[in-house]
Amino acid sequence: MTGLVAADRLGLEPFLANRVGHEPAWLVAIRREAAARFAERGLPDRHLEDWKYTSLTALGELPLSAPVPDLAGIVVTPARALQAAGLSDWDGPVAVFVSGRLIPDASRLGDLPAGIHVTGLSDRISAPAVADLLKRPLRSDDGLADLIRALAIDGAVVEVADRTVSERPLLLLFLSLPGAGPAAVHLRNLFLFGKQSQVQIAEVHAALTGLDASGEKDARAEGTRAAHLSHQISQFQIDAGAVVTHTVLQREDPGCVYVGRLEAEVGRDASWTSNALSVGAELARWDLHVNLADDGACTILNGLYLEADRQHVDFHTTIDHAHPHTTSRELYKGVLDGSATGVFNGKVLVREGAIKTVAQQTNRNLLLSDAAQINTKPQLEIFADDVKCSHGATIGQLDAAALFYLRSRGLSEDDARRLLLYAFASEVLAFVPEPMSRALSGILLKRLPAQGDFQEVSR
Amino acid sequence: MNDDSPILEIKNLHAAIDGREILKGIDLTVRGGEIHAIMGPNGSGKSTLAQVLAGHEAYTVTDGSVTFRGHDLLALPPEDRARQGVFLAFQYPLEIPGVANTYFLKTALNAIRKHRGLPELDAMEFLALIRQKMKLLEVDPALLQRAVNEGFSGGEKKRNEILQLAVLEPHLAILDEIDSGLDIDALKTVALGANAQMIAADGSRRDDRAMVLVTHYERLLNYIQPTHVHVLYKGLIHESGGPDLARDLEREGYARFGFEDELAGTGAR
Repeated sequence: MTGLVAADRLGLEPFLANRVGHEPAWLVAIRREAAARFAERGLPDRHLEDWKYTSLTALGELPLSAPVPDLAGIVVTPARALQAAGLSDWDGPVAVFVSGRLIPDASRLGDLPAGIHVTGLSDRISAPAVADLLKRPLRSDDGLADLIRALAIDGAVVEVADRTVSERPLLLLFLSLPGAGPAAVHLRNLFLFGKQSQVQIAEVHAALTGLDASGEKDARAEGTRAAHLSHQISQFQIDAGAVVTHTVLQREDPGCVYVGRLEAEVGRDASWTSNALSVGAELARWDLHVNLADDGACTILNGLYLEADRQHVDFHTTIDHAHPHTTSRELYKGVLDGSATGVFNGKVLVREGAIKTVAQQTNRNLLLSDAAQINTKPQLEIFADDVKCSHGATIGQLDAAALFYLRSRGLSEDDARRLLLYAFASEVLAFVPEPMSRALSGILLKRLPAQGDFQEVSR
Repeated sequence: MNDDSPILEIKNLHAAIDGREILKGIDLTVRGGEIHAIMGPNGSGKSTLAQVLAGHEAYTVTDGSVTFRGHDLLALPPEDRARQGVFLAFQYPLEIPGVANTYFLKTALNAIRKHRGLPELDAMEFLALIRQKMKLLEVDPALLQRAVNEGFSGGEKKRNEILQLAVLEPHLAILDEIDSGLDIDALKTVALGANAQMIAADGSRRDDRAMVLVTHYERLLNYIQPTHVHVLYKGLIHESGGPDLARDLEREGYARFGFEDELAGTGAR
């Protein structure tokens, strides 16, 4: 039944007919195959183990098919885009995507370091490396992934040449148009990092309008159905010896259902660091799938989620230690207030023969109200000997003794609480590279129970 | 408030935790310029008294009153006590990972200055002040940039408490077992800071400040000379006197009162 409804909702035939002639036949064939698969299984629901605690019913009858966005009449300048992302003082290179479409006029790509190329996916399909990635099966295998394969026509393509070294991060802004743009945006982002390259990428996902703080609160309190879906799969191919840091800040508007999936293939002696910061949207689902695909590959996953009201966040991480001498370290921390709910599921797979694997996983949560909830679950599957794997999860409240200590020095109870919350979050922020960390911590601080300037708290 | 009124006046103070009465009628008057040592075996209620004065919410005051410079101290939350000029040096200072010591000190100082109607110090002014205090106390400047007490040695934690005392300049300093676990060098530093707190720029004793030392051992009193000594046992002050009383205790032990080590090792405080 689900499949039938889903197929109707896709309105797919006109869309596919429209793609023929716009893109190669192999791509349209992939779309048809994925659409058929979606018709069979529909959106993932709670019968699937990975969706046990997260329901997509908030999507309701939202039309999920993606008309090619009509962006005529939408004027975006770099200043306006940066303001929407909360990074007004950013003066580095920036690529701005509105409803997934690269907007050159809103971007500053002239000062990109040599060796780094940013394009829109629809303009880059003919490139062999891009086509190769598009043809490869996704790690994510459910109805949502079908939708990406069937419907995604745009997204970012970032290509980094071998041995490119850049200290300055490249900023990508993904801006949605609540109310004005399509109800569902399905994006496919591809990141290709050449051998021994060293770069930092930072993404912000936000609404182009409606960033007023008071409005944000009102809309969430109403508990309305989702107004739009922000849905993306980003694939990372990290060649031998490359060192990549990727930071995402999700601060979508309250009517948003956000699904962000990051799939990384990490090559020999290469390293991929992911910082995922989730503060917006009424429902945010993150899937990180890291394949440590050759000897010496390493990944560091950091996450921070700050949830309030009726927000729901779900982090599912999977690290596949497929080769010997691979290393992973995960640190996810969350603060949940109001009747917010959260899920952390951390799967670590150590395959047979992946000796000398080191895997460490930590999930820490602060619950600020009786109604807030978190489900946290480590999932270790170890098929190799001579490995070091550890995991730990905590759920607690602010430390009463520490609160008293701060208050006994003259800090108000509110200030003491905020200071401890900021201190809790700052452990993750410490991994975010400057100058992004400063800008991001400012955004995060605004989401703490009261506002304050703690820029200098932890130096 | 006239000059004769005490800084701290405790009358018939009863306090309980988890329904168990620990303080059973304490009377104590502390005037400006005085240093009171409160001694007693483990479990006598010394630390409870210190925590109650600082406003720890785990303790319930069941009877009595505490007047601090004319204010009803028990009516105030901990932060207002601090702003009025009460300072407790903790027996076990808390570690606050993620908060730089320098930020913590500046925030605390400015909260207190604001309450007193003084302009808040900016980063440069604060740095000048803190450097002067650290030099006086021979505190390693590296401690400023580290998270509050995180990974500090026992001695470093106590020095950090005394640094806070020196920066915040309270009217009443309560030092709870400040000497426990200190080597002789750290003890000298701690005493230096505590004594400096009581001395005005012209070398005279400050009559707008007072100190309460809570200690198990007489050793500390070789470095900080008390004006008054009290012996606390089972929640009551059994004897009060001058510095001689501490020397008598050192010589005779608490056996003088017939309760030596009776409660030692129970973990109660």
